[in-house]
Amino acid sequence: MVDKENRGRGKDGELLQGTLDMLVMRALVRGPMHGYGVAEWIEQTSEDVLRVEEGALYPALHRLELRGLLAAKWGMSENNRRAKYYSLTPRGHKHLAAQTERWDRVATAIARCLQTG
Amino acid sequence: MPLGWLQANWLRVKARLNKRRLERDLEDEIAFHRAMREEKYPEAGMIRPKRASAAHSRFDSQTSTKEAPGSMWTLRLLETLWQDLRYGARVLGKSPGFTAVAIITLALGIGANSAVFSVVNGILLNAVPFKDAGRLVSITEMEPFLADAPVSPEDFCDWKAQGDLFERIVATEEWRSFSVTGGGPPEQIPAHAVSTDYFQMLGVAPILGRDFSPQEDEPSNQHTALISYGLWQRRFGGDRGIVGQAINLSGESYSILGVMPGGLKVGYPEPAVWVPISCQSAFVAGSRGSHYIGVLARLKPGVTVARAQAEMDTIAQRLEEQYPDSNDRLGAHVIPLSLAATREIRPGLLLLLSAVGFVLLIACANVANLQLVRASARLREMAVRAAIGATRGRLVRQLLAEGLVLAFAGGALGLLLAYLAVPALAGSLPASVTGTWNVAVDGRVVAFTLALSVATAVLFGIAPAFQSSRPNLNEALASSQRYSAGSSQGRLRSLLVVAETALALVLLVAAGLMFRSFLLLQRDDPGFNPNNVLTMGVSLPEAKYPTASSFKPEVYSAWLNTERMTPFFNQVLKAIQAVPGVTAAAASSQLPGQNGNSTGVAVVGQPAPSGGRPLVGNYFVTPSYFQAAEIPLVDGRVFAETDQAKGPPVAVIDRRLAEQFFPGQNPLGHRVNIFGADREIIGVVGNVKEHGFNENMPEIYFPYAQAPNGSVSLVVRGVVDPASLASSVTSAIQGIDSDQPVHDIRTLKEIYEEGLLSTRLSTTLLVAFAILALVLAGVGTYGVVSYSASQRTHEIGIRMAMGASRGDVMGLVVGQGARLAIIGIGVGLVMAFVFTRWMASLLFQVSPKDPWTFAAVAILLTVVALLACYFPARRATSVDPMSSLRCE
Repeated sequence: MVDKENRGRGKDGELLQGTLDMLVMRALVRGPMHGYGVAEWIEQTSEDVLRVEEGALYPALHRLELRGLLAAKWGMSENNRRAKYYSLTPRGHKHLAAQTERWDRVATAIARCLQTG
Repeated sequence: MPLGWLQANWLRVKARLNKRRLERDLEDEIAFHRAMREEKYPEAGMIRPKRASAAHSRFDSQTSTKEAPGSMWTLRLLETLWQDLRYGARVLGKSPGFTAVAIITLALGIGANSAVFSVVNGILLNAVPFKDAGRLVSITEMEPFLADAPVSPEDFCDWKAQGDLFERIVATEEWRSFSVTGGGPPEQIPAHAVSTDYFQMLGVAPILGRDFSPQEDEPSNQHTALISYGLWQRRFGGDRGIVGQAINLSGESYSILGVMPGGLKVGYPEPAVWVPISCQSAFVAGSRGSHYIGVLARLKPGVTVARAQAEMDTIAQRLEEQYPDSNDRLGAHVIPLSLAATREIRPGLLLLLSAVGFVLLIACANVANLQLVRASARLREMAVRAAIGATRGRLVRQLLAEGLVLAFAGGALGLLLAYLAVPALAGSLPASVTGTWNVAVDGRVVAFTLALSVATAVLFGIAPAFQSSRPNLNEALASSQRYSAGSSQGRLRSLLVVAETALALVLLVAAGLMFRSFLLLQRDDPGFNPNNVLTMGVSLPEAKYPTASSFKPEVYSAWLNTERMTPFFNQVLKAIQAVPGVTAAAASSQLPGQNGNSTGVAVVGQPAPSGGRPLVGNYFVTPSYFQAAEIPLVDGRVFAETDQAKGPPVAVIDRRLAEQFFPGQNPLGHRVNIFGADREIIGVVGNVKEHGFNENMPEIYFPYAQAPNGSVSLVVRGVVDPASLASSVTSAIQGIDSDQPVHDIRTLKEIYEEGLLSTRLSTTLLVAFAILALVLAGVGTYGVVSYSASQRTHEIGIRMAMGASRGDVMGLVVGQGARLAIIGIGVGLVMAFVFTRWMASLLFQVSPKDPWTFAAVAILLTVVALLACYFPARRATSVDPMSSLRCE
């Protein structure tokens, strides 16, 4: 798949901004989490294949917040530190569902292409 | 959806407002993140442990974490823009057909705008090429037939003495000329007589020698002159020792004070020499009633034109009370010089500017339509990209960038076209325009083209871009490529066609009106016959307008005085009449239709009208003038040899004067008082249309013999092409006096047509633009109808299979196109009705609401639209129903 979205940053193995958004939202489906929590969830659930650096994570979180898909609130973390917690808005839930469905369709199509011929 | 949009944007606005706080928040967040990580991996510090697996995929950003916070909120516009532009260019390269058509369309639209802007830039934006031009004003007096009339010298001097709000106020006399004999063959050169601080006011300094100074206000010092660069090079070979030398002007010696720089745009024709005038000159006295001075002034800083006008009103009022005979209702009119200089040409230029604007809008509509069609073919591409995660804004930006590539390419090509066309355009402007202004493609025009290209890209790109990046591309993917005309994309296309049809109609109406007006103007009877007449100017060394010195009889040229002028010209005319091919020859103070002089007249025996002496134009002519110019005699007689200098003063008036001053009576035998003497009216002649503003000024003619003047125009009528007579006539004159130069040898037809030149040019351009608009609109209609017909192939197939005839199908397709055209024409007619009102000042004997023009244009546009629909319709009927049904 040609990486059209981040041309100029063509390093092998870099994944796409849109996909990250989707994963971040997925991480928050169960409930509010702070940024570090999200990064950890992605890492663990993907069995260490996908790793998120702060420089990518926080822009994604804020972008989603500006689009109204996430809501943010400052709170206290489990070790009594001040942290910003993100949660999915109803719009965010809807958006995630749509994105996931689309991703599934595209992924299936790709898989089909890779299997034939 | 709207609420969510509001929400999202509200957050954006809040973010922008609270930038600093949010940045601090972000730093806190990241600090927390790192703190948490260190707790988990205390030995690693900032560096994460490397994993063995090579299949790591990292979400990473190129920029370091430190940079990210700031750049999150700043738009990394230029970076992405450049990428988008390159990508856009690549994509466009893949559809060369579309790209070529779009670029050519844009080039025509933008190029036309650049060309017209060059003219507007040179003339309107740079109207007065002197320092601080904003504070320069021209002051005129008001006459019954002329809103802005020349000023009388005594009035000027009073204004100068009493005016308070002017930094400087100067007088100019721009229609003088001198004969020069030394340094070459005898030549007649144009000259300006100006106040001594004229050049200081304009901010122009001599390149050699010195400017006039208050010294030259003294009458005894007024035989000094400043010469032009051209004259200096031509007659004095660029001699750097010219300062202080003498130059012989019309028989008198003037001392050269300095040389002015070349390329001065102070008027047309460009003066070769300047002489000083001042309020101390004797000529000023007694000149209250004669109006021939131009007045320029520079307002003091901070003084508005309105304030200056108010002050001048007061001064003028005072003068009116002091001199009720001459100054009643004369007033004083202060206008910014840039307006005064461009007054005649401004309305035409603005019309052309609007016309090309319309053409560009139509071009944009066409390109937008092309984009829409192309976009529907790229729907899948857009859908995939959106699925991968491109935001809508990203897609829109991408599409706009493509539009920018098209617009820049079109703009560059258009600029090239303009660059090639503008010199030709400038060349066809009348000399009076090019002599005063520079029309060329300069830096400002390039900047304008650039800005216009960007604006154009937004204009034609925005709607298609938003259309193509709609969020619910699901349905686009799901359905086939079928788009019924009722879809939002189809509606947009229809709207564009209606809009461009309306614009094309307005433009065609404007062009039609101008064309009719021009035809009428051309055929209009000027009151004399300009064909087969040769003219030339002869200026005897002692000119009419006296300089300060010439009031002293002893300074009259020993060579010639007024008593000898009449016999001289009688001799000349007799010699010219003897030239084979000449039917009549006469001398006159002005050429027919070129009168600029006016003076007050009163009818003897009638009470003076309340407004003071009304002004009428005056000509001094030899008896055969009316025959030479073919001005018809209406009543009485024209001058004869018997009307000599010593005989009773007589005058011939034109019909306008007769109707105005002697309504219902026979004017013959009545007397009028003009130029200080009572004169008997002996004849009435036909009206002559004057060039310029005072077109319908009443005229009065005097026998040349009764008021001789050293500077005349010769009017020579021949049976053959007058230009061929030029050399014989000139030799006839020089046979009488070999030293006498003649100047400005031209045919009367040339001079008369020059007046029409700018109208002819603007009409031609307007018609050309209108035709371009018509073609573009036609092509646009064709494109939309053709595309929608091709989309409806399936539907047409069904209809035909169900028994629809070819005629029915054609009716279907044409009907759709016709509907759009009718709506467009209707809207256009309403718009034209509203807009042409502003053209009224440009039209000659044609009403801006002329129904014939409107009807003709509407019919033309309908025919073109129907033609544009016909071909797609025919193609639609040739569809094989079976294959179209199989298509999906």
